[in-house]
Amino acid sequence: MTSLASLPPAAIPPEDEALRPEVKAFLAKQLEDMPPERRARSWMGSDPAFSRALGQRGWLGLSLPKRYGGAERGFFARFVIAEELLAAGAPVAAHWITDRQSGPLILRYGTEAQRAFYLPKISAGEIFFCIGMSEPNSGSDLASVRTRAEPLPGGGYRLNGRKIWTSNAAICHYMIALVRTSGTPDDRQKGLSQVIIDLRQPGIAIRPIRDLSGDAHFAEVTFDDVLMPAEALIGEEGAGWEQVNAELAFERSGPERILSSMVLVDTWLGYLKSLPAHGRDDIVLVGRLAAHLAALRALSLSVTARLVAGDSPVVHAALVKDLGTTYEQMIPQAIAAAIAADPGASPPDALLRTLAYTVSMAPSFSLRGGTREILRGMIARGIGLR
Amino acid sequence: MTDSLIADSADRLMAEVVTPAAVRGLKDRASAAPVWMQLAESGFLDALVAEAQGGAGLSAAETLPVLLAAGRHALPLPLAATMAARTAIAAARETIPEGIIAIAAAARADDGALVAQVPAGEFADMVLVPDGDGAILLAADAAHREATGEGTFCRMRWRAANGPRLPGFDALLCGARIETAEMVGAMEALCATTLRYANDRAQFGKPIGKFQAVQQQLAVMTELVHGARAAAHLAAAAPGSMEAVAAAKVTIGEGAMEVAAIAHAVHGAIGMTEELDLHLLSDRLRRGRLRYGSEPYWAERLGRAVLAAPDATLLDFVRTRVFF
Ligand SMILES: Cc1cc2nc3c(=O)[nH]c(=O)nc-3n(C[C@H](O)[C@H](O)[C@H](O)COP(=O)(O)OP(=O)(O)OC[C@H]3O[C@@H](n4cnc5c(N)ncnc54)[C@H](O)[C@@H]3O)c2cc1C
Repeated sequence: MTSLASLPPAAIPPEDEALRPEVKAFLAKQLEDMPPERRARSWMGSDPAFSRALGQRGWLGLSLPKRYGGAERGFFARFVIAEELLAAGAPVAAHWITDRQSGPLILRYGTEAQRAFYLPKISAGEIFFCIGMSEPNSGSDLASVRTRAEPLPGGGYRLNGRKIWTSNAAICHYMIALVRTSGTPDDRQKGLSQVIIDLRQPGIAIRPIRDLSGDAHFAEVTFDDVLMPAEALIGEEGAGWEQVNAELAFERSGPERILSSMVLVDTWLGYLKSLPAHGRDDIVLVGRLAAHLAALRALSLSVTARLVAGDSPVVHAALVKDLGTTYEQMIPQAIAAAIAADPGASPPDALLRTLAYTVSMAPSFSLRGGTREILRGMIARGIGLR
Repeated sequence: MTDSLIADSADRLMAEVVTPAAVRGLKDRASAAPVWMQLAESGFLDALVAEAQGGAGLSAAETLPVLLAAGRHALPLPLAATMAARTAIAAARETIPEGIIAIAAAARADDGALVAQVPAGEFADMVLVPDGDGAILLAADAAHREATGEGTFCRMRWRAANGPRLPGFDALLCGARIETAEMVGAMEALCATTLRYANDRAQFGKPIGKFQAVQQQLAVMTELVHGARAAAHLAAAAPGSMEAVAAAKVTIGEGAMEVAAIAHAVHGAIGMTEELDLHLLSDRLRRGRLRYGSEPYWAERLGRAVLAAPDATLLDFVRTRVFF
């Protein structure tokens, strides 16, 4: 039996906290005219120009070294900026995954040439990456991926296969994909590698998939005899599985696993504040929302401190994500109940539209980035049950 | 002392002194003296008292490990309340009395008498009772005591309330913070016990911990314990903040219910026996939730503060009012 180490509390260093007012001021101006139902898309809403504007301000690539165009500020600086972007509902999807995990991945596993080529452009908000893990027949069972990068005799690879649910593929320049470079699907984790695919080359088709809210943020991407140079490989051939898992620690512990429903919360609070009086049930719900936000934020900060220390807190990150997405999913249901508790109440249309969007997308919160059941399985392994 | 030194010595002390047998005895109204004497000798009583007043001058955050350890062993005596009370009394330049000091959750005037709800009041020599915008220190002997019979609190009635006053001492806030910290300790112990049991108990030819349905429940339990601990740290770092303590009482109270339910579900029938120590911990959580205001009470206070605040976002409110 092993119990999972408890993490000490962590605080944002003052020099990183100091970034906040400037970010707030910038966002207040940029988002002035964006209605809440659009802002509710949060890290699902994209605007490449907005992402580039962030890059110009030095707010991307915060954890990357200066020699690669980064700010060399680390994960807490990123935490502050991420919190503000998400709370405001800024359209961050274009650069989000790139900034969160592709940049750190290339820094950690890339060759000097790869770092020098990609990282400055990432920091400037000029290039965007998407994540090609899932396939039509490989969801939770990621080790079963079939997309194949066949090593060619003279070096380089020939790529065939299909990725699906790839967020923002249509506006991205590159995909970092988990593919098989040797063996067969029966070899499972062995023989998998990560490759950087330039999405603008021949043999690649990107078909956007419309989601139930009417957006088409994700896509199916097919590869048909795509030729890639040897430099497409990132990290070690055959080490794809370990690399993907390290990446997931960045993906799962951040504020985006807590704040996905925050625009709805703040829109509802705005409505409540406009009312002359409040029922006790509403006040209690407001208090619960604040209380859980506080505890989750504290936990997320503790995991961020482990990232800063150079650890890869995969199990703790899974834990934050499961707790955080449970909170994110509770919010739209609870607010729906609160809004219509009085059948005669007439809440603003924008609030109702924000609610409709958030309710419809909420199921995805515990799917994207690994399902609830898979995360709990990882935690069970972390406590020695598997 | 460093954090882990305090944690280690608190753990050792509680394991030695606060045995399941001792806890059962105290629940059956045995004398508190034998256990209390050993706790008092430990030196923790004045851990929070300022150095200038003869204490160790530690902060609430630094002594959190002591409260967690007390909770892990379901200590029924108000050790943490006594520690906090002694600190407040010393700070008010009053003489620190001997013995066990409980902190009342609430008090009301009744026909010229003062009636208070006092968690662990049955063991107390003295009680800090809310009074105006502070508290008043009253001798337990002078009160008529009436235990509820289920351990949550004692109703105590003083005909005349005479004692030193501690202006500004918020008994409810202090009690709630202490209670949540000990609840987290009890949640930790429930989680560890349940994990051990899941590895030991076999059905269908394998440990029940090998079944995915059981694994998922234990994973949830682990998550809730980590979340609760984070909340306890927030409150310990800002013991004077209503918002931080409210956040802890709400989230820990909600988590406690789920943790206790999972612990019992995984234990099956054996968990329902008097003989197993499990119920000492789950009962500790029941009492903790009932003491010093349950989740709706604190959520309402917190919610009112949010609605009255000028902050643009809930995150702004939480950042600036809960985190220090
Ligand atoms: C909005 C959104 C964006 C996404 N973006 C991307 C992206 O950019 N890139 C990318 O690669 N993928 C992306 N995904 C895909 C995502 O990673 C998958 O949805 C996820 O891994 C689950 O796979 P699946 O949908 O095929 O479900 P399945 O794996 O088929 O699971 C269906 C159900 O079965 C359960 N289940 C499966 N296996 C087990 C098991 N062993 N034990 C217990 N229960 C199990 C699951 O928990 C789930 O409840 C995105 C998904 C969404 C919803």
